[in-house]
Amino acid sequence: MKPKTNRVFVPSLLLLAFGIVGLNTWLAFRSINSLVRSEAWVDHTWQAIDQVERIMSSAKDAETGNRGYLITGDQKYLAPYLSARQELPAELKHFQELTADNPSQQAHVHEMDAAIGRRLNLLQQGIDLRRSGSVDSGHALILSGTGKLEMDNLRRIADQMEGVEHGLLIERTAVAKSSSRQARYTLALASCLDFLLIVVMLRYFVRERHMRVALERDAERLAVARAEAEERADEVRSLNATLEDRVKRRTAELETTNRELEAFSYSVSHDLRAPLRTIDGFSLALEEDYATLVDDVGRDYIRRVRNGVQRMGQLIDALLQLSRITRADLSREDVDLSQMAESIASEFKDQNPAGNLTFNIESGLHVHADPRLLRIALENLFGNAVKFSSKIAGPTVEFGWDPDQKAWFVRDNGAGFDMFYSDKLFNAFNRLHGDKDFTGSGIGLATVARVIHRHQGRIWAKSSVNHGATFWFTLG
Amino acid sequence: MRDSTKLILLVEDDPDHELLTIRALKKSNIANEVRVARDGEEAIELLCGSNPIRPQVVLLDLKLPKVDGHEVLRRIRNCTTTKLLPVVVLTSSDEERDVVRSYQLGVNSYIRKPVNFIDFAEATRQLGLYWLVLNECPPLN
Repeated sequence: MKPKTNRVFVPSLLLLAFGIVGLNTWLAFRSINSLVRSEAWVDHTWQAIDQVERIMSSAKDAETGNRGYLITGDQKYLAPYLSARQELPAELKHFQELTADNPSQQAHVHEMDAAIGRRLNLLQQGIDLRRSGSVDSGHALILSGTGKLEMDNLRRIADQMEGVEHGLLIERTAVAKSSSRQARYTLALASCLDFLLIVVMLRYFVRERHMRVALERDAERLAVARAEAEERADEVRSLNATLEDRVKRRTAELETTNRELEAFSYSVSHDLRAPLRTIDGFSLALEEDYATLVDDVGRDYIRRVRNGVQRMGQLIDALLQLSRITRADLSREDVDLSQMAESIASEFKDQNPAGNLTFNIESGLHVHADPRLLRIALENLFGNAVKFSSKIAGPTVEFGWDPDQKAWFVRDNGAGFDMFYSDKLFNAFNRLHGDKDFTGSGIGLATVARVIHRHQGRIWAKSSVNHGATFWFTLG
Repeated sequence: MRDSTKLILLVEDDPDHELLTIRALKKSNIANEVRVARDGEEAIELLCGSNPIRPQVVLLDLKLPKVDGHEVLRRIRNCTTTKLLPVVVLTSSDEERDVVRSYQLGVNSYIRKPVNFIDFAEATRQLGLYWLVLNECPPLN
């Protein structure tokens, strides 16, 4: 059960329970009440019957006392008569009160009252006669002998009264019985209902308890899971810390390596060039100062030595440029690519004033890149294009944006290369042409590729031998 | 204080280069006296020592044993007598940091020695012409 329904369900269940218990209590109370009432009526009826008997017995006492006196003339026989005579009105009145709700009994009371009145008068007359001595006891008895008729009349009235009450008694006993039966049923039903309710509540609470236990178990499991998760998180954290440590160490190592590389390139820059200059200087000194001692072959050798030195100087410079590109900070800005290409092209034209070199450069090209590095890349690409188209009749270098490839391109119509070797194209010192055909350091394209990669770009080429070559590049 | 008219101080640890530099100067008809210091310490001693020389210009290599070129330059600029002395760094390196550091320390000129001796001789000739003939040096006290 969801807590939300629980919030509504439990109070409504309790309310229902209270309702049922309340209703049961009320029903039981009512049935017991009616039972008590009907029992009271039965009791009341008995009282009325008793009262009739009491009236009759008082009447009989009066009769008996009267008769005793009349026969004996003894005063002591008058006491019961006198007390009965005194009590009878009150007893009659009591009966009248008891049967105030019953008009037929009220009528009987009046009839009886009259009959008793008449009878008592007769008795009183007998007593008075006896007292005065005007009659003897026998006569007095005869006088009051008519009392037999009156007594019978009284008895008849009393029997009628009792008959009414007995009828009522039967009725009321039946009512009491049915009331008690009803009370029993009601109580039984209420008890059953209460029992059912208790059972339902018990079941609900047992289920609730089960659920609570299950919830507690779930909570325990959750806590365990949470603890495990915490543990995992701790592990991850410690792993992270280890990782960060490692990264720091690696970074430090890399920085050290970088510093070593810088020191190395610095040394290369300085230390390798110095002996070269020495070789070149003294070769030239030989040529100049000892020309007479050296013949043409010797001079040719010296020239070759000096050429070698130049080549090596260029190689060292190219390598240094390559290492500088790797180390340089990249700062992008808006570059007018067309203008840059034009200025590089005019430099190449100045170097080959005799050449019929043609540049076709698309105008209006702009890019967000590092201008210094980009210039080095373009210089190398143009340099390659110029170099490899130097041996054909109408060398043409094109530069522009290729919308199909979504990249810039440098195209020449020169010697080209075999695509079989294209994977070596951008490696340092890998050359696809011999020095006898085209001189070069083998570092130019590696430098270009490094510039492009520093910009998160790509570079690729397509060519076939003697059909020129196209280089495409993107700049990230 | 000796006469140091048009004296050149060459700070160079490589005797070959020393020889080639002097030869290049001669070739350019610069017949000034050239004093050579083999390392930084010696250069400092010559300039700020007990018997200092007053060259017209100092040609300073950066890569020197003991005390390197930058340190020599820093001391020349910190020494009152040599604070205004023209110093030309003449070195194989064109590392950007070397150039920047040299200018920060107050160098007057920075020349990268070309490998090609002809180019080198030409550069030396221009140097001599400029610093020994054209340039008006601060008064030597």
